[in-house]
Amino acid sequence: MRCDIWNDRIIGRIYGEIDAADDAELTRHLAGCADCRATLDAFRGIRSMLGEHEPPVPETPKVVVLREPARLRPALLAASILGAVLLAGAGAGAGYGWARRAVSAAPPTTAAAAGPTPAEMEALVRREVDRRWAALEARRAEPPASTAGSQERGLTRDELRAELAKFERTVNGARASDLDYVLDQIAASEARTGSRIGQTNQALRYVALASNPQVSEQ
Amino acid sequence: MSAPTDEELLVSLRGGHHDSLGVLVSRWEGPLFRFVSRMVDRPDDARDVCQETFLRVLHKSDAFRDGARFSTWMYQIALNLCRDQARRKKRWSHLMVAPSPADDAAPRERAAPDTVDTNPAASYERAERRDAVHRALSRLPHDQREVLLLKEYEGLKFREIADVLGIPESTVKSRMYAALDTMRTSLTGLGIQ
Repeated sequence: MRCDIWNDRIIGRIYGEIDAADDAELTRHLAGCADCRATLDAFRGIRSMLGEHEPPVPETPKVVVLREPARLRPALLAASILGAVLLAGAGAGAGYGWARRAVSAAPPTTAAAAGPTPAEMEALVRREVDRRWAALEARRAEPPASTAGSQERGLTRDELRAELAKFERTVNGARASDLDYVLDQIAASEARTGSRIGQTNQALRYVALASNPQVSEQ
Repeated sequence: MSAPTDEELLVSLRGGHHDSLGVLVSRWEGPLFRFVSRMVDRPDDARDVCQETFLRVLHKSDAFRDGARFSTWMYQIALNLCRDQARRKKRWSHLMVAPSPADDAAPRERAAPDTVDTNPAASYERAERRDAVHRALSRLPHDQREVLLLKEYEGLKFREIADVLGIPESTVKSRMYAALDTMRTSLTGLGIQ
């Protein structure tokens, strides 16, 4: 079409991005071209409708970007380990009521008011397990007395071993469920963004290795 | 003391100050989400594209050219992601049945008029025009829609749109002309003069 050469200038005028010389030339052209005048009017009408009926926008998400992934993964890992340790501590406390007595016998510290740290909790669990093994060894060293009244005597070695195995299963179960949750969160996040699958696999391996020493890197 | 510019924040981000990203996000999440949600069909996709855009800003801040505008660079990233998204959708379209944006949005909008109008006929006509405009917009070819949205609703200059798209300014104007012309044809076809 002959008027194609004026298209850019028509657009420039509609949006106010045209220099004075081009604008003057366009004015002269429009004076003698009904088609271009109609186009200019039509486009202005469409602009007006676009402004009047702006397409709706869904509510902007509150948080668009979560956190730098490199920082997120260690944080999740730490949360996972913390959760496992806390659950292990809770299991130890529930399973062996006298654990509390042992703690209360220790001198109070100022940190106790703020709650035990993960390291303190882990140390508590370790201390309790060690204490049980020491008690067991001490009992083994004693000469056999009467076999009667085993309920009052306490646990046998096998019973204690079974208790400890049960305790370990509880802790591992808690770890596994905690790990499942963390893995689900990472996987869901990665699936939603549709990228960084390779990094995810790497992160999952680290989480699995750190949370379950029985898993070895292939 | 004046607030840091976007470009200063990006330099700071590049220097390891990750808090700068938070400022950039708070400044741009609204405009970016508005633009992206009009480029892709589903709000979930828009959210994902926005999140990925900011993650790329974070990870690729070294690739930002000194002297360039942050917003131009950010829109470039977002547009590329929108195009990837559109390609993916096209690839899987023979397996997925998704409602069109017009089908999805129009009934709710019709149910809730913008203004209380004492004249039902005028109110109906206004709703008709609105639906027609949205339908015509959704039917625009992708390249025309990009230009029209960046110009009309994001208020970029033609020079800036050319930078975002990596094409000459004259091509941007040609696409803008084509977009308005396509809109005119569609609206006429829908009975809107």
